[in-house]
Amino acid sequence: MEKDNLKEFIKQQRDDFDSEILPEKMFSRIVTGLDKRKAAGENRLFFSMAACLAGLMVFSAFLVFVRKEPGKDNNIPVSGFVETLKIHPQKEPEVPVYEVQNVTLPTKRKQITKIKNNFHRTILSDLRDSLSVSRRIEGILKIGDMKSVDYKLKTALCNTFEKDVNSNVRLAALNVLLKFSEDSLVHQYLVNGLSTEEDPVIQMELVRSIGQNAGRETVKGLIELAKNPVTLSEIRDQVYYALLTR
Amino acid sequence: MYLSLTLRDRDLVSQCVAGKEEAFAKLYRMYAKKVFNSVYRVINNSTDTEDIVQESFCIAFERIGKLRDRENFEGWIKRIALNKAVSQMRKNKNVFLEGLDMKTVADEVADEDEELIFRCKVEDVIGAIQNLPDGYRTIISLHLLEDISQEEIAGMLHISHATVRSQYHRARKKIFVALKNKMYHGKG
Repeated sequence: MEKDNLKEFIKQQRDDFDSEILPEKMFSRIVTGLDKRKAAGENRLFFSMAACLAGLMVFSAFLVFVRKEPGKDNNIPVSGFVETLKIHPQKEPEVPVYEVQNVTLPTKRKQITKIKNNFHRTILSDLRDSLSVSRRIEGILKIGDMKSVDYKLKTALCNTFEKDVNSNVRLAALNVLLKFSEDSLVHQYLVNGLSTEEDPVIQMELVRSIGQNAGRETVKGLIELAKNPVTLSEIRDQVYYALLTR
Repeated sequence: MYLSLTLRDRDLVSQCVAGKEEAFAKLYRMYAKKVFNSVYRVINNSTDTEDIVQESFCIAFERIGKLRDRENFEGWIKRIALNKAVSQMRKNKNVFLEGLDMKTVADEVADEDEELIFRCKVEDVIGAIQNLPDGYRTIISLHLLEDISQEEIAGMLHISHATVRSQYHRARKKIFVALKNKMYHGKG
């Protein structure tokens, strides 16, 4: 290779080439800039969550009004299947009482199932959006509002907790997963998180939430976290507390 | 010594993720001067350099949770800052075009004259680099001082590797001509 004397000279005296002096008070300007960005980010998250909530309310209102109306025959009979649907009036009988007998899979129920599947597909799509953190968080919040989740959504949420590059997204996923921590698959992912998660805020939340669990795998995960030399002292203290008080 | 430095960076980044303000300040004190100088060599303007470095640190501190290689904060913040600097330079579309400087300098400096560099002062070499046209100065700074490969520089500047190579060689020759003039004739 051709000898490059200039490269050699610069390599020998590299530090001397950084001769410009830093302007004063630049760090305080950086801190001010950070605060402004944080405020702008919180506003964006607030509006995203508000938009998500509004969307959920509209969807719920839509579901409430998707019912069979009396006098309209829009059911498709399927042989061998009978269903009876009764709706009883409230104190103010604005909604009339009616019974539907010999109804096989009603069209409205198919429509509701279709809407539900589309909703789940939207959430899965949100969770897989690698470009938008707020969209992924929206997807997680939608799951958080559900009373129960199917296997697909559950595994997608667990994968987000384990692999998402953004710590805020992983933290949001953790908070929702904790609602379903009784589930064995979710519990396994949470316990694995003790050894794989590096963000101290998430580590602290994990230790506080599942630290009281007496399972062998949980204890093993806590001990490994405490032994890890890069674990922050505050988290180590929380681990010891969990181990001593479980 | 290297191991303790590595752990220190990793510890500081972890503390930043946990929100400890003193950790941000420590990282700034460790790397701000290097980043400032790296950008200044490309931009050659104090005010613009300050803006770019400030914004780069804001972005790095805001996204510090995303940093996977926590042992190399310096490399990460420098890359953010240099990308911004290069973007600013690329706004002037003619800066990196081949052939603008048609004067051939290849014949002006013999190879043996390159040995004179080892008799030069650092500030003379800095001055020679600063006096280069913008495109040459950017390529010399990125390749020799930031240790970025010519292929990568081509990608950053959206020009061909051949253009980077030829502009690098022209820039080198210009530097040696300037140093030779300074040494023998006292001209900068």
